[in-house]
Amino acid sequence: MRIIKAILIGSISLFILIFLIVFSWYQTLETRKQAEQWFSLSKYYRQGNLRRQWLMEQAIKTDPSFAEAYMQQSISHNKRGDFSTGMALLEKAVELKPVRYLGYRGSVKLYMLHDYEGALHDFLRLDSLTPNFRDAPRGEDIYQVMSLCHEGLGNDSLALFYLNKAIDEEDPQWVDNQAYLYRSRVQIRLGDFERAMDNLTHGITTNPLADYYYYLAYAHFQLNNPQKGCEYLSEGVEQFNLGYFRSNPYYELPGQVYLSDFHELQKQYCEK
Amino acid sequence: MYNDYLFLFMKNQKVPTSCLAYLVFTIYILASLTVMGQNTVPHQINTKEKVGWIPFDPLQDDSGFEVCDEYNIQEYYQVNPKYLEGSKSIKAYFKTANTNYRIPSSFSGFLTVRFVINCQGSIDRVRFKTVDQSYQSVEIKIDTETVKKSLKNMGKWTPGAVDGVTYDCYKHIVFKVTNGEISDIIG
Repeated sequence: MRIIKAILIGSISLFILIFLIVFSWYQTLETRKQAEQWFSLSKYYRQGNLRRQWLMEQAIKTDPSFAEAYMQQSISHNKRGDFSTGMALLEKAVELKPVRYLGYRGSVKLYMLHDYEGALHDFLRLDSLTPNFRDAPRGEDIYQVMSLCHEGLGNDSLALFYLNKAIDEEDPQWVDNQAYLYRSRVQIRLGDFERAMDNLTHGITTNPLADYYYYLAYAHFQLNNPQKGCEYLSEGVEQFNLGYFRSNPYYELPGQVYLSDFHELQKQYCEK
Repeated sequence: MYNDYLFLFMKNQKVPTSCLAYLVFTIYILASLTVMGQNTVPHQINTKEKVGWIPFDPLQDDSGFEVCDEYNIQEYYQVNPKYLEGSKSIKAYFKTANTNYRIPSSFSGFLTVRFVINCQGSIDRVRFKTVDQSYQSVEIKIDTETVKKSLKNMGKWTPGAVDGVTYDCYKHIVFKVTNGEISDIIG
């Protein structure tokens, strides 16, 4: 019994001692450093966990100018469709660090909400804040995402203008393979099938996704070349069944293709 | 201390057991952090401790609707539930469904409908949120019963599953509204 009592008292004393040491150390830190401590503790919990959110709230309370905490807190709200809370937090992050978070917010507006105007506004503002620097919101070329906004707004000529910038003004090794797909879709709509096919063929050489085959087949059908079109459709279905197609767990990608898209074209052009 | 042990390794001296334990512990922590960083795989977090938890409400929810594990409802992006082919099928369904939700013509913004898909692929616990074009929360009067009805009439979903295990999960569909008309569906 005496041993247990001794262990208990020892443990409590040790706990109090550790607490006092940590507390005194915390008090010596600058406000931002204190907030960072709360923030780094939050990382021990999963995204969306209420304890994680609470720890980030403490970080914000400690230092209300801590932009990253606002942004991180916004993520789980936006992913769950609570855009009033998520976007309000993101607004605060953008207000504090526009260059860092405008691109991210633009991408949320573009992909999760199809708010093409709002997204374009954010991308244009970001671009104007960083002259002579090529921004890449969430790793995508800024002109590529700007083109997607114009496409969503139904402005194909501007979409093509920005896609040309994204592809032709960039070192080829840095061009996102999807840019060729996006450019070909706009070119198909504008009736420029030959150029569209060049882009798609280029896309296939680096990443033979079913999506490229689908649009390639589509362009061939438009040019009255059903035999080639049907061949590409078959290849596309093969790639699709192997799992080589674009998809995203959070949202539908622009121009994403489905197996039924292939079957619909096959029915229309190949089953005669 | 860690460097000292590494030094021991390099000198090919006898390695103390605590050194190995320390290494195993470090690897375990690093591995845990790697898994923690991945958001698109299922993880057990007590559902009631999550952002966006939808508790059962006897006033508006179907008492016959059952979830497999009340404490382990995943998010859509972790387990990928599907309505037929996915977003394409959702859009196609709402094109033909009754979407006369009586949204005021003065409203432009986003109507988000969040719900639970249980591990059998049925839907319930439907909740609504509306924001205007500036993402400010707004209260508008809509025919929520018709929205629920149209959702339920979709029929079964393919429940979220990973490695052959099916999960209950949350999912939302965003209706983009322009002057009271649904102009886009993001699901």
